[in-house]
Amino acid sequence: MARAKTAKRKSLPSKRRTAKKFKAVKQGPVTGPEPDWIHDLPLDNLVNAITALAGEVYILRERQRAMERELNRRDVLPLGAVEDHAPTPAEREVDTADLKAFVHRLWSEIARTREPWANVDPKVTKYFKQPK
Amino acid sequence: MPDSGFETRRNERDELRVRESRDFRAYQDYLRVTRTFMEGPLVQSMHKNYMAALGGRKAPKTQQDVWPVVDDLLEFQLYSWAYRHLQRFKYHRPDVGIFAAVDADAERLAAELDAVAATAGDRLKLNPKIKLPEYYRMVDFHQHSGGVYSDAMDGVAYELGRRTTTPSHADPNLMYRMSFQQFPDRQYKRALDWGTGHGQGLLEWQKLHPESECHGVDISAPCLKLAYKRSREAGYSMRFAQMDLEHLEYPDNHFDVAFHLFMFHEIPPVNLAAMLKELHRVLKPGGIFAGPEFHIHPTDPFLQVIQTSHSWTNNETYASSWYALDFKKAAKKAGFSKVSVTPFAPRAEGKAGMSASYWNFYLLEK
Repeated sequence: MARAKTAKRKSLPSKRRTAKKFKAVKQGPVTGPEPDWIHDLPLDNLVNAITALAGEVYILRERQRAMERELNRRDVLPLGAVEDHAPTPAEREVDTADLKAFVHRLWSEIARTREPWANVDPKVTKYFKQPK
Repeated sequence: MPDSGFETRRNERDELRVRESRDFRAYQDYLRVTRTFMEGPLVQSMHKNYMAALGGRKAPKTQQDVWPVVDDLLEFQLYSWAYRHLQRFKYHRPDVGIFAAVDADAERLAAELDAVAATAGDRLKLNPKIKLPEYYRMVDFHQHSGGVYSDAMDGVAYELGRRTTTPSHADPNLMYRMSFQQFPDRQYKRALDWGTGHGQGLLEWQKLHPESECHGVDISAPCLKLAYKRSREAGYSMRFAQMDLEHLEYPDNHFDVAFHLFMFHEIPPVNLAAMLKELHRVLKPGGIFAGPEFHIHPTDPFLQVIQTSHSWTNNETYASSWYALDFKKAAKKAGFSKVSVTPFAPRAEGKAGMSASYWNFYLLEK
C-alpha cells in the first residue's frame, strides 16, 4: 500500500497538517527500529503519575504495618520480628535473586534499546493489494 | 495408533496448566484493567479533545483528514504507546510476562503435550514438511515474537495470552458462544473450525452440537498439539490437522458448517479470496461458513482512524487491507450463493460506551 500523503487542506485546524511525518500516527507497519509514540506528555503528568504511585506504595506500607501489629496482638508474631528478621543463607540467596530481578525489571525499561521484539518484514506491503 | 490403556486416558484428562506465580497473576490483572481503561475512558477523553481541537468546525469526513488532528492529541499518543507496549509487557516482561512463565515451565508442558500427541493416531495430523506461506512468516502477529508456529510452547503462550486480550476478559469462550447463537438452527453433521488455534472454539461448538463430527484445521503445529490435548481433557474425540488454509486436504462437499473467530484481518486479501474458494469447495451444498470479524466503523472517520491504527501498533499488519476488501464480491466470486454481513456488537462487560472496536458477523452459504 502506498504511503498516504499528509493532508494539506487549509480548513484543518492542526498546525502539523503540512508536516511530512506524523508523531504518533503510523500509516504502515513498523518494520525498523521501535519508534517513539509519545511526544507531548507534559513533565507535570509524569510527576503526577510518580506521586500517585508513591501514594499507592504508602498505602501498602501502612497496611503492612497494621498487619504486623495485629499479628503481634494475636501473639502470632513478636513485635520487631519483621524488623529483626534474619534470613537463612538459603533465604538470603532467594532474596538476592529477587532483588536483582526487581532491579532488572525496572532498569530494562529505562535502558531499553530500539531493537524490535516482534518483527514485520519490510516487503510485507506486497500482500496489501486487493484481489482482482 | 489409537490410545490404549486406562492410565493414559486418565492422564489425558488432567488439565495442562502453566504454573502461574502470584506476581504473574497480579501483573497480568493489572495489564488487563489498564487495557480496559485505555480502550474505554481514554478513547472517550480522546474524542472529547478531538472535538475541542476542531474548534467548532465541521468534523472531517475522511480518515486522511482526521489523522493530523488526532496526531496532536496526547491521548492518542498514549493510546498508541499503550497498544504497543502493554502487549509487549504482557508477553515479554521478565519474570511476570507470559513467555517468562511459559518458558520456566516449558520442559514439563512440552512433555505433557508430547505424551498425549503420541497417542493421537490419525486424530492429530501434523505435517513437518508443510511450507508456511510467506505472508505468514513475514509478520509476528500481535507482537508474538517468532509468530505462533516457531516454538513448541507457542500454542500454550497464545492461549495464556487470552487473559489480557479483549473482548472477553471474564470468560474467554463467551465470544464463541455469542457467535454460535447467530448460526442457523440446524443439525450439523460435520463441522470445521477454520484456524482452530488452541481449539477452544471447537470445544464450545461440540458442547452446543454433540451431533457434530468435529474437525480443526490450522497451520501452527504447536497450537494444534495444544488443541488436541484440550479435546482429550474434555473427553471429546476430535480431529485436528495441520494445513495451509489455501490448500485444504479434505474432499469436496465434506462439511456441513465451517466457522472462525476474527481470522480475516490476519490474512492478505488476495490469499483470503483464495481461501474462500477452498472453503466453498469443501462445504456441502447448502453448507455455511460463518463467524465474527473486526472492521472499521462504517461512518465515523475518528473511530476508523483509531481502529486502523491497531494494524500498525499491534502488528495486525493485514488489517487495513482487510478493511478495504470488497468481501461480498470476493465471497460471491468464490461461489457462495448467499452472503450476509450484519453488525455484531456485543460489548464485553465493563467496557465504556465509546469504543473504536466494530464487529460484523459474516454468514456465507454455498
